[in-house]
Amino acid sequence: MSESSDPEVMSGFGGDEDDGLRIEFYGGRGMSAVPIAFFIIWAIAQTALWRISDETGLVAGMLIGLIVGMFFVKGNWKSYANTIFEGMTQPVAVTAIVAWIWAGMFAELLQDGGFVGGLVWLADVGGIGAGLFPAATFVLAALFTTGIGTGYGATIAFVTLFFPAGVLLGANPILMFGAILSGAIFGDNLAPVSDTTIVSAVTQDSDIGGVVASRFKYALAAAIPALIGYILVGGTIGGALDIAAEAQEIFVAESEPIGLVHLASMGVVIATAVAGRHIVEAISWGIVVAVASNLLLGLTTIGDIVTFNAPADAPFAEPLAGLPILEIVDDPDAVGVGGSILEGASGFFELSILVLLIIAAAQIMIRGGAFQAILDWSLENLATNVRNAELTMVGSSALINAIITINTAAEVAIGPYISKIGERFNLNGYRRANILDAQTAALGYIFPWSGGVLVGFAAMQDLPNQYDWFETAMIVNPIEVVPFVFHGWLLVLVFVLAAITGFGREYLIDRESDEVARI
Amino acid sequence: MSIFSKYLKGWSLRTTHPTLQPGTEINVFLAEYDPGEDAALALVGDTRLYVSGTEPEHVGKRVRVAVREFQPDESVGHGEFVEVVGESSYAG
Repeated sequence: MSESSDPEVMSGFGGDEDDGLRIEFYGGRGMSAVPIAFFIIWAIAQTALWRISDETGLVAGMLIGLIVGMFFVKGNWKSYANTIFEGMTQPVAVTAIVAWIWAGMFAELLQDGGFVGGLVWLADVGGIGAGLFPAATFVLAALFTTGIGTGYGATIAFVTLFFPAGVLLGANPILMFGAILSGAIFGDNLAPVSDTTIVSAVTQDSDIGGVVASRFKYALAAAIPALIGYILVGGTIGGALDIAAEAQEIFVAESEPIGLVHLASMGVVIATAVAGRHIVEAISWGIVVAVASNLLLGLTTIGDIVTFNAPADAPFAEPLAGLPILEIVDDPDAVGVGGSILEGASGFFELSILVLLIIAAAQIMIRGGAFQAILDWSLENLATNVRNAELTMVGSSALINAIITINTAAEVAIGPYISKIGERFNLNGYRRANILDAQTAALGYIFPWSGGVLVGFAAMQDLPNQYDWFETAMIVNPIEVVPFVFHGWLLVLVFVLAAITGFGREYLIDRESDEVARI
Repeated sequence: MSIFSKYLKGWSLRTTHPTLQPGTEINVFLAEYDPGEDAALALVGDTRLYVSGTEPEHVGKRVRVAVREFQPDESVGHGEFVEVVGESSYAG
């Protein structure tokens, strides 16, 4: 998911089971899953059955789920209410939101600076047609995410920039979205600066460098067939039929290479992130370079970046009308602040609220004991030998990541149990960390309520306003992309096969991981 | 171990019943205490290693064990407790 290079940020999701609030439910521990279960049913009904892709609707579903869950609480409801606050203030959730907003501003600046046009020009000149575009997108998204360590940020950037370029050239929108999510998974799983990588290493008491080196084989085993998949499916599946051939030709003809200057903006983000700087700092430097490039090369005006639309009767409107960031408007509805910076950030405001509520519901499930009940049952009944133990580790970390929207939060919650099961069979820290992180990265970008899918979907909402040819119907319904996140599914499959065959399995007697340390 | 060799480690299929070498010392986590054997049990995969000289409170800890004997057919070994070398990464 998003990046936070500071392991402290990851501490404490769910907290110590013994030092926090306890909530008792009528019907037993399992009933604490009611809010999350209600939300998932709502999300499936809304997005899959009725094809309503509306984040605000999901917010309503989660709010109602939280209220419904309260009626099953024994005794005073105060502890339930306090747990909602406890969940919403988890550092992992806030970290993700910060990364989204920063990435949103950055991607919008690049989009307004003509980067999409540059990509279309490059693809046209390089002969990368619609068939190969998803595969190329997968590779570039994987490299970009591995560089910056935030799969969410990469998803926002690529949905804003590569997605419209690919769709325009005739690539299938669903496949394009799947390729972007797959690239994000690859980087989230492998990047040393990714917070899921750090959490997997820290919770399994292993050094980050060793963890990354040991998971390379699994990542490659999934990425190669995923790439082949995007090449093959890209060559056979059709694109968006609604784009008029004329509009496509005009856009391609008008595309100019100048927008590719923003490769430097992306490069600055990667370089600073790889140098160990915090992601907020890294993207901020990218924003600075993007703004400077846009202004110096005349790609946008300063008013395009930030603009104040003031009414004519405002006291200082007329005297300051000469300012490039001030515009006087007659229409009362047009009054407000606009520009790339605000538009880029505001696209994620609703999603931020939704994610905070989901994390609150997940916290109720943890405090109410449903989470513990699932794990206790799996320890007693499933992890009966080392092969089953590894399959249980794969299954439980996949399940929790499929339920909790922010995958780092899920990973922090499940980490101790993966450690417990793995240590029982003396699996070393690298193996445990790899099993944990692969499911965390993969399942965080597959289902419609996954953070990666939601953030990509949110980034798509603005595209019809950006391009005349981009129809609302081209926005991918989150449920449709599920089967096309090839790298995610393959990564899970690789670990199921690895558990069954023993591929990559290492015991403590084979090798002990080094001390936990940063990179 | 060099960085390069770290990338190459583990490209193989590892058995569920690893072999233990008598006369060597290994570090293992203790899974449970078996009063009948008066020893703690360590599971290395599905290989069982009974560790004498241990107490019930050693369960869950990482300990150094001197391997005394090993029966490959049954994948069962016996060893002597040497010392506690570490804790679980999850002490809860």
